[in-house]
Amino acid sequence: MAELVLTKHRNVAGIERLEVYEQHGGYSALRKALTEMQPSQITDLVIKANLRGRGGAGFPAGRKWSFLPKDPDLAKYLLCNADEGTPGAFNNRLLMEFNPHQLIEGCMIASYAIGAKHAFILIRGEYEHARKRLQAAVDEAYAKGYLGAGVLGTPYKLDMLVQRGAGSYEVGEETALIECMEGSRGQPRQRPPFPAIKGLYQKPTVVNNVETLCNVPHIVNNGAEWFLAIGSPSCPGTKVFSISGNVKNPENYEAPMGTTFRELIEIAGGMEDPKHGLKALMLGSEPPILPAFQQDTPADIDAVAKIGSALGAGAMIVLDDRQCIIDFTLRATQFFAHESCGKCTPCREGCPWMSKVLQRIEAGLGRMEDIDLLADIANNMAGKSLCALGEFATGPILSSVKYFREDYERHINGYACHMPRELMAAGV
Amino acid sequence: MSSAVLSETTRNRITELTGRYPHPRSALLPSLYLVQEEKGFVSEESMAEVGDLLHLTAADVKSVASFYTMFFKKPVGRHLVEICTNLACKARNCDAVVAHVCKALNVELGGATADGRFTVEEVECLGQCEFAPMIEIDLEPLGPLNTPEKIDAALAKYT
Repeated sequence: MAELVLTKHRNVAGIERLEVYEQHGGYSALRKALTEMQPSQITDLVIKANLRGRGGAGFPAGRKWSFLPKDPDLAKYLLCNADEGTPGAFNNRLLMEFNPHQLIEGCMIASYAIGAKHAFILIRGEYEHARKRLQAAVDEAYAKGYLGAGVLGTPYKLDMLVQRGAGSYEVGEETALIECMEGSRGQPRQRPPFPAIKGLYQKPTVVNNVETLCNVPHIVNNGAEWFLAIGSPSCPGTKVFSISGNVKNPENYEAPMGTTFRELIEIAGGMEDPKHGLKALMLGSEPPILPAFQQDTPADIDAVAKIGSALGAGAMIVLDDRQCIIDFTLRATQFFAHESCGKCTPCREGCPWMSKVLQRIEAGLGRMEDIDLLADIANNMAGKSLCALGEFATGPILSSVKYFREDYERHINGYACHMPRELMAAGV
Repeated sequence: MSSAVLSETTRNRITELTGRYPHPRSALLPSLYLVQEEKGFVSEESMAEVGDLLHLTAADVKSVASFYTMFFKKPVGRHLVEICTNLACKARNCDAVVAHVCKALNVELGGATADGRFTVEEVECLGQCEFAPMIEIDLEPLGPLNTPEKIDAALAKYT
């Protein structure tokens, strides 16, 4: 078993309490950062460790920090993205629920590195248990002088606030997250300006994912060389994979970046029913679907990108041969139709249109030209919206048309699986 | 301003919230949660009142409240049943959960039971996929609900 980093203390009773967290080495990285390191040294260390964003984009976190203006009089903010909404992703929830202080420590070190005096954690509205855990931990950190004026007796001052989202996938996009934090509709902004220049309250802002920030204390404690030795050369560290669907033991599993999907399925106990083999993997609803023959691909950001998909947030929905790819493509597309914020026309109109076409194919009412129609709509959406949602919605469609065209043809030729509930209700 | 519909306590808590942020507008979502906590849903009148307290127009408040699915614009049942039908639950046959819950409670998705006990909604992934197929009742995750008996037992706990 490879070394666990983020979930090492998962079974330690009471680790959510500051005292127990500290007994297991907690807040030693913060102490080291505040007393032995300059802010710029921390940023350099994180750049050297090549810590890449765990939320999906994979952008190097340290470089993101380095884009902020250095003016000490300018207000700057850290905004932690805890709006985990990718279908099949539940690793941020685990990290916040079982060890909230690890995230708080990561936020504090990142805030110190960028010179922020305010840090915000925006957590999705549905994660009430995690939010309460996190809030209790923040309260505890304030009570013991870890937050507020004079952090750990140093001149550094930091306030931290946990804010609750209210049900919107789109808010996971960083500029929409900023809008939500400001009390507005969670719709994306045009870039530039990028958040590093004009973000929250029009001030320089770093937006980082929960898992990204949880890695920071470990890098500060153990150094860049240690981090670089774990995982893939271009994508170091571990990843907490959320494995669900047709595996025996659906759960979060931490493994080095670059562990193959086949190995990850084994880690999750193998297939749910040994009589039914792997048909496909969905890495959330956004990335192009991986057919079974790609299961030996290393699960790291670059290797998955190389085969035309995306590692995303580390979700892995395992589908066995009982599942219908058209049905799952339809469900993913309905999700995007529901979650499109409506700001950009290609996404707002394209998602429901593709959804309708898929619905009729799944119901056995499709036409052969619908397959190319789907690809055509998708190709006219990609790259034509302010944020990536319009792009994401094309992933399952284009990949299923590419790899599972026969399934489409079979449905159209009179062998559709079943009528979706919506059509039955509509009496089609 | 029309007469107040919110309690003094809620009004005070909303005013207090504004001081927590670099910009008071950030208090809007927490304020709407406070309204919902008191009233069970977010009415036109209460949105206008929140607007007065935060110095925002009623239209502005409504545009925000209507964007987010967790704010109810009309009264809901005493308990909220949310059935996840997204990918991970689908792979574990959430369709059977939807069918059984609707039949057992004699309700359609999006509707409330006649006795006002439950509102039942279909929702997107709740991020609890290790419990698939799962539902949440009042945001408490319950699963895996892979037999009708388990679903009945889960529902029976809420009166």
